[in-house]
Amino acid sequence: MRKTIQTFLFLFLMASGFAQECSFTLTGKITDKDDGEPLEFTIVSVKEINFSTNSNEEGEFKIENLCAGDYTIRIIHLGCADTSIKVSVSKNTRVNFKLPHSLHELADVEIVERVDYKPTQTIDNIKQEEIDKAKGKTLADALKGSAGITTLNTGASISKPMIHGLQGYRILILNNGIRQEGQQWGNEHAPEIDPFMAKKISIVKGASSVRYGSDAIAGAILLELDALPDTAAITGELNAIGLSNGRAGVLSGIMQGGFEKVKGFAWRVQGTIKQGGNMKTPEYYLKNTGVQEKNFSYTLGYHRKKMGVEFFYSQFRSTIGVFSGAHIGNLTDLQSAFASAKPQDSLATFSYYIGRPKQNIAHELAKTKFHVHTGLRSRLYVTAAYQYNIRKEFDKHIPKNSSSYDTTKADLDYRITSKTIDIAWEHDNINSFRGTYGASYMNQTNVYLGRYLIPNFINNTWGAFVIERYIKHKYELELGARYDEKYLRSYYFRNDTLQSPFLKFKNVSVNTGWIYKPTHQLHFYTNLSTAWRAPAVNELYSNGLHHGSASIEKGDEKIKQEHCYSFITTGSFKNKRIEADITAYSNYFKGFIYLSPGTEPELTIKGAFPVFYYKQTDALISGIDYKISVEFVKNTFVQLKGMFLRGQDLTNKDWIVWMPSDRVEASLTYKLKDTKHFKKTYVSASFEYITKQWRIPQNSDYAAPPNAYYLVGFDIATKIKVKNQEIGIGISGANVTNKIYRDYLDRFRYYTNAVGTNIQFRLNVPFTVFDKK
Amino acid sequence: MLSITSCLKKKGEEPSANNPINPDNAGEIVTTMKIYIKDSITGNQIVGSPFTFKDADGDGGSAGGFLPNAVDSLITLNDSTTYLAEIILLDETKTPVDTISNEVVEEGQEHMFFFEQSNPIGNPYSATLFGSNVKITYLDLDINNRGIGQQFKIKTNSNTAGFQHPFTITLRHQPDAKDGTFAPGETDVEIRFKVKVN
Repeated sequence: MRKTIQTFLFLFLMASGFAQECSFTLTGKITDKDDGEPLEFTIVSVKEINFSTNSNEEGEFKIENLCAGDYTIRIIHLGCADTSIKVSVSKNTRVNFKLPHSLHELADVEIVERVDYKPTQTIDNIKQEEIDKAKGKTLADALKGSAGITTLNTGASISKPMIHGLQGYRILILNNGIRQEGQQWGNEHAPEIDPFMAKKISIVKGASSVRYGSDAIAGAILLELDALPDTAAITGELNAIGLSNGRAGVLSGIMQGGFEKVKGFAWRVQGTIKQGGNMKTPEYYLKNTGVQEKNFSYTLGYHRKKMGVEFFYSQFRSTIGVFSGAHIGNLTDLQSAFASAKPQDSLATFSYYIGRPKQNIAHELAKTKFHVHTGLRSRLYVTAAYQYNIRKEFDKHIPKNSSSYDTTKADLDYRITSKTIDIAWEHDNINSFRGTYGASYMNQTNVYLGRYLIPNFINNTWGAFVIERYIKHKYELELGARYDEKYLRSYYFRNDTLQSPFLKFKNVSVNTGWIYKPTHQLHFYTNLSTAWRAPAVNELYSNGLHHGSASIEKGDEKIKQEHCYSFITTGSFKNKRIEADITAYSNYFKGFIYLSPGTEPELTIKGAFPVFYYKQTDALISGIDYKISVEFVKNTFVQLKGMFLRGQDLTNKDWIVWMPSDRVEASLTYKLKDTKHFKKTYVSASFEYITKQWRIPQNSDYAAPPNAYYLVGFDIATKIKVKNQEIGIGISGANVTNKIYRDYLDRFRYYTNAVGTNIQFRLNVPFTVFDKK
Repeated sequence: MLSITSCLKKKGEEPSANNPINPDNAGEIVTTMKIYIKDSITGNQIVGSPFTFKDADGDGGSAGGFLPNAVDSLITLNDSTTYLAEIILLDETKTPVDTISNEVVEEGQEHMFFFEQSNPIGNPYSATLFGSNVKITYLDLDINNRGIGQQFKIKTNSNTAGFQHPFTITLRHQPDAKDGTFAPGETDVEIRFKVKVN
């Protein structure tokens, strides 16, 4: 640990050493090309140093402390098309920009505003290469490109993202601006989202409840689509992916366009199909681990000069085979599974067939978003959304009195319907203040049709928030507050009598954020926040046996709200050769809800089972994430990425269960020079080391955590220029040494080794069907 | 705007949230295991027979226990005697009560009872309880001529001076995998009785 801190210090000193040579100033004036009027409040951003500023009333802007070199300056002004210009800086430089005011050409069509409302929290945009490398795998796999993000897995096909060791209810996923409302309560319930839909994936780390909703305790995952096109051209993209492990194939396409005759109208259609078979560990196949997915979405949009409306619909359907060796009868079975080197079903061969046990999941989302300009620098947004989620789980065996049993019926069957409405009003810089005011309401109904595990419920939630930010050249200060109320009525039977308890929760969340920019290269983001969440139905009322883990889980009706006090700070340095982000955080929980092992096993007809009770404790989860990339020789990059995390149960003076262990990943990338036919070519190799998690609470687990392991991977990609299009091809490999390992955060580690080598082939073909130009 | 119709939701398929399914009336569960033991010569049920374990609401919910005394699972036998025993499994949540053990025998090629989890040997299958002189012999066969163990013979030898032997009865479900050994498949029922020979 100490050594690592020294390394950081060294890198930072190195970084500031580079910064000292940088003292040039770039100034300029932005005017309208047509009438020569100065354009105020224009965003001027410098891509290389990740910096942006605004022009003043005279259209003037100033960027100080630049190093000598070439920069890409992007000019963004509402109503104008974006302009990018290369500027070479070797002394103090002045450049004047004349913006073509495209509004005149496009008549009444509004250019969708691109004012960047980044929160003050640490925000990490997942790089395209990381997204590409995870194509065909799960959504959570793509997120692992960010430091501090790990996954909670149930085998290779079910993966839940974890931010700083927290997952499920403590993370919000915003899919195209809508809170994903699926069945988050289960550890084997992955987010019901087609990863191919998102063009941009970013992660907000740290409590961000004020902006996104009361339960975004650990952070939020934002999946965003491209803005709809504003020209009549019809363009698209086709992705084809092949994966060696599981012999999986994925086809995904997207097409979008506008109409020449009806200005302002635009559309997009998108779809994905996926099929994969049994996965293989280095030594054996895993029976019944195939996946099938069929997803589609479409968007229709209409934009006028001062308003816009967008309708979006998506449907996600998947069938996931659950490894049959992980479905066990009782504790004796579980213990014999630990004792055996290979799972019982290890004689399985390759097959695409998905039998029992399996999950059938469907999720649909319909959304209408309307916005109107309420003034020169303010807008009102109204978003209404409907989500419906079906989760069916089929047991391994059909009951013995099978004559009366309908095999098409799921044993566990949950349906959740969510209706949300969100209103937000935003204003741009007014006397250095920028802010958002909003309110939201959700009505949610859950119904079960199969066996009881969690009750039916009706949940009504509403909240209102205000965020104001004071923006100065070198620093920004943000204050936000939010109030939420939640009403939860549950319905379930206990001893043949219908129970319908009603619970009400209300609380305030507060956030203060600072951004400090001493130089263009060095930025600091610091946030102090409070957050809370109401206990979920499974934490309150669950009472049943989990076949996958051979344990009985019992909720507690007396569980209260969980409160979190969060501190997170990030230092971010970026110049032409070094990119470094280091984050330190500390989350203090009052009433952290967790599963605690009981002392006495419970007797059932299937033998004795350990019992786990939902309990609350005070906890402290702290850690450091880092990602440092250095171009140490021209075109050769070394990246170091990793995390340290400590989860402490303060009340019981013990560790918190299910926390990721410390890990580090080193990668080496060589970028080849662009040639006439090949562009953006790179070759990359990575080595990841995951330490053994020995910080676990006493008696919380049946089997000791697995040993430390390492994984070796590679990635090669290029873009081939064919006519005007760039066709992307790539090949990547995960676990290329076919390492035999088990991971602490994989729920199947009790039964089987993790999967072996997986080689991915990917092809990306952009196309233009029609373009007036 | 919120009344938009769903493409996935089928009308009438879902009950309303305030009218949940009573889980006690749904699906099949094994609530009760009874072992009837009688003297092979006199045909009389021994004292305490049937020995019963009952978990009225299946796994989860309230815990199960032995009847009539929740903690007492002791079967007392005489030395040098042969007994005939039969295991009955019931789902008592159903009316009329569903006898699950009939279905176990019908699907005998997929099921097998084990005693103290040991692999039986010989023809017919038999097993000796570990550390005792109590011998269990399977009396029934599936279509592949492997023992099922729903009916079995208990033969005692000499007195074991009040020593109690564990007598765990496990029903294994072994579809397409039954080979006469304990390992394949998974456990449907596991009850830990004890045996004493006077």
